[in-house]
Amino acid sequence: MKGSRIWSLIVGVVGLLYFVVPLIATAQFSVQEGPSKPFWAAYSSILADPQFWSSLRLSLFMALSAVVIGLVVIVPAAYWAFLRVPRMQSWVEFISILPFVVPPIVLVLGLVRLYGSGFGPLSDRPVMLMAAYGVVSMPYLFRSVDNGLRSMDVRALTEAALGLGASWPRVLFRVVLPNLRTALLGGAFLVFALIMGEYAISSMLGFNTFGVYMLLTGQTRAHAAAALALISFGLVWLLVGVMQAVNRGNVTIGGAR
Amino acid sequence: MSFLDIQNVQRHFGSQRAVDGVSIAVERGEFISLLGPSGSGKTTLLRIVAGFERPDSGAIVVDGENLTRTPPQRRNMGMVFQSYALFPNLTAADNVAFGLRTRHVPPTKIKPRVEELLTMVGLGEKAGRYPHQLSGGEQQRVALARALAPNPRVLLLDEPLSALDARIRVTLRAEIRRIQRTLHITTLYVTHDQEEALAMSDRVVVFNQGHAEQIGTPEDIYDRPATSFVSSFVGTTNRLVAQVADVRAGLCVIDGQKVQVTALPDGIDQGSAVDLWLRPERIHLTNHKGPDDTNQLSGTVEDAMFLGARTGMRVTINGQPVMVDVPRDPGYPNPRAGELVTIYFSTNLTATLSNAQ
Amino acid sequence: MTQVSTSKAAPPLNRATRIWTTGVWFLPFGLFAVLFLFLPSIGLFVGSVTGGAHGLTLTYFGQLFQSQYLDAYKVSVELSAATALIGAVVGVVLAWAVVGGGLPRFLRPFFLTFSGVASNFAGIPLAFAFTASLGPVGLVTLFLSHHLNLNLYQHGFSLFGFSGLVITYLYFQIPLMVLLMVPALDNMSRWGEAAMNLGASPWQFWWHIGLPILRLPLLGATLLLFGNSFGAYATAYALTSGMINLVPIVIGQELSGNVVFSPSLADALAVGMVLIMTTIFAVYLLTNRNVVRWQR
Repeated sequence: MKGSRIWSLIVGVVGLLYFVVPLIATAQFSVQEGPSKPFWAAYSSILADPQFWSSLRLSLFMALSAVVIGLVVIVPAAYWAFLRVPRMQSWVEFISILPFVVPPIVLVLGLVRLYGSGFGPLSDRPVMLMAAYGVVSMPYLFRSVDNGLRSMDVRALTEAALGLGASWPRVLFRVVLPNLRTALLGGAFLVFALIMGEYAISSMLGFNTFGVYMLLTGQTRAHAAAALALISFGLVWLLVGVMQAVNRGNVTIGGAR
Repeated sequence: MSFLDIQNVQRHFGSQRAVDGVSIAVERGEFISLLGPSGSGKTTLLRIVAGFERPDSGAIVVDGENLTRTPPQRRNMGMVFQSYALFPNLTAADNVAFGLRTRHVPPTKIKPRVEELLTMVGLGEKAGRYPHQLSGGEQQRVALARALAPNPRVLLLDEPLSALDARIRVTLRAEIRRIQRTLHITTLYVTHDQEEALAMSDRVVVFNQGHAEQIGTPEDIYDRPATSFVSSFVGTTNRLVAQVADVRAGLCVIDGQKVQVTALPDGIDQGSAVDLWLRPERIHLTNHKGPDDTNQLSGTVEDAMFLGARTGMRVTINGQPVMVDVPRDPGYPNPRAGELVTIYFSTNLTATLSNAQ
Repeated sequence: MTQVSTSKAAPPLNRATRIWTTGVWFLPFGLFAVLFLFLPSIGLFVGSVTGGAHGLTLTYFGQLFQSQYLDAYKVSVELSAATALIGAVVGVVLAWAVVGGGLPRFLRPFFLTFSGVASNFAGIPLAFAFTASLGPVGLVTLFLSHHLNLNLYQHGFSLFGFSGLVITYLYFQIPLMVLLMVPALDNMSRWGEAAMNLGASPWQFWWHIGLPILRLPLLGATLLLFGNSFGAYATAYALTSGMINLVPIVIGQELSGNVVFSPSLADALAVGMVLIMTTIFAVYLLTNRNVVRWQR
């Protein structure tokens, strides 16, 4: 028992070092802009950069639309399958997690090839970006919707609401969605974390999202890039922390690889 | 000396006293229940006996051998877990055989032993099934057979029936008791279900906040609770506050009405308050107040409920609510709310404890 | 299915109406999946077997076996396999340290939250973080050369090559493994106690119970790790400035017009990726099905 404890401790410390040292190095690098400059120079230059704010805004907006699109698409299908057509459940699940097998770079290639030109609104680049983000976030949002539906007695709630004379839209918006709220929040935060750092899709479609802005900064201003990396890490920590607090113990994979 | 001796065991988790100086002497072949609310330390004590937790102080002695420092592998105690913890990759038979294989019992002896045990728990023909192919009750039986297979010196059961539904629980508890009697195996049984504890055990240990409130036969626990916790935790009880009128005669008064009790708490003074603990089913209704009106109290019916064979009533006596549970007599109508009634009870059916306040 | 009874007492729906109602609920989902997931994928497949003057052809799939493209697959698979295997082993050990009670209890939630964050911390900022640590003038590189007289870059290490990518990918692979294995390992402790109670040594427990139970979850998690790194683009692109021969990078080059080669060939490359991912995913689903059956 004693021996295994020491081993665990060694493993824990080595693991901790591997994960903390890059952050320390980044932090250290970010405050060494130059001998004549204050240590916050990199940070202040970023915060003063209008590009930083516009790219952050764009990514936030895109993340929000991905969540909205994902929910509009998934919630009705998952709900109805759960309530009335159980044999569709596994299909909805299967299709929702299918985006895992299509890497983002492949997805964007497929979209550009198919809708690159001449498909009306589908050929609009913003529409393609939103659609791609919607697809990418489907697995995460499905998980949270599914968990939410399982954790409440959907059938009883629906029947109770219908019995009290509620219309279907009312059931959906006043009964089902409010009860799904916490579960959805978790998935939504994960999607935010995912899309805030996304690079492959947006760079291919020519958008200056936060991820693209980070890469461009890195090509010219190394210290500012380190500061950005740290800011981004803090952002992910915030989002994932909230996500874990909301639906605890949920294993999920994500991230803008 | 008793067979299993739990000697003044203490275990703290941080500042919380999970087990706070518990001593239990268990005789060979005895079935003892550890009964208490969740978090009262009964499971921790069981895990200390099994060896999964080390006590901070105290000792576990089996048959004169001090096992306090012995690792669980070498204690030879059979444990049935709350979650069963059946090995999902092994069949029922292999689960039962596992404890024999670790002891290097020759294969020729393992097979008949496994068959014997599975037959004993009524699963002879399901030997080849995997745990996930068995119902909850069947898994429970396999877990019991597995624990018993290596002929353990002590059988430990941690809330083994809590995950099952009520009907299976009743069947299984009778079966566990039957097997325990047949094998004459010393058994510790953790439960939070008082009915289970009272029905199965030779003796019951009532746990509260890490210590044993009372150790006694089910009759002792039910009829002569030692503390107010025991009397309120086990069964339904009324608590009536009375004033001591005569210490030597054991006489108390409630609102000027006399109550005779068998014994008063030690060192109590005349005029001080005591608690009378009174089971609803020990109370009767009477129509006439006799000349000797001791143990007869008048009150008002607040509420009467039809319970099939019996009538449940709430009566207030001098502002104190009393639940009364009497056999229903179809010849007489139920008392109605607002009616005045007189209740009476036998002197030796009350428990008197000092008033907490 | 039980019929929902409402106070409106609707008459039983006829078949056509029922199909129509059901259709309305599934329509957005189906339409979205078809338009933005299925059609683009099918489009890629069609593009890869047509295109140019060839008509219906397998030319482009044939070209995948040219050394340059075959090499891209080889590097991609090797990178994914290396990070999946190392990540799986280290991740399991770390998860066991967290779960097995070796580490102080208060560290557990911290480790889990950190794993959640680190497994989602990838792409551009991760590349920056590792450049700051293990780049030519990174903190660790300098520390090693100043204090231990060990110059990594003179010994053939480069953060911007294969080994550098492996080290960097592990930053999200290991935590992912921890997150995937902690629930399975948490369950182990109760079986461990049961085995101890039945007289099993730790060795007997792991051999007869622990490993057989963990075999499938381990396989499944390792496959997920493989897939997780196989499609990764941003981290590799940022670290190597697109100079490493990975399938996603090659596709990206074609798509962004940096390197012009046949569009149909890019389509074929993409279809190849999807096929590999589908295989991985199918095996994962099969293993996972058995895991679910056991974990009760």
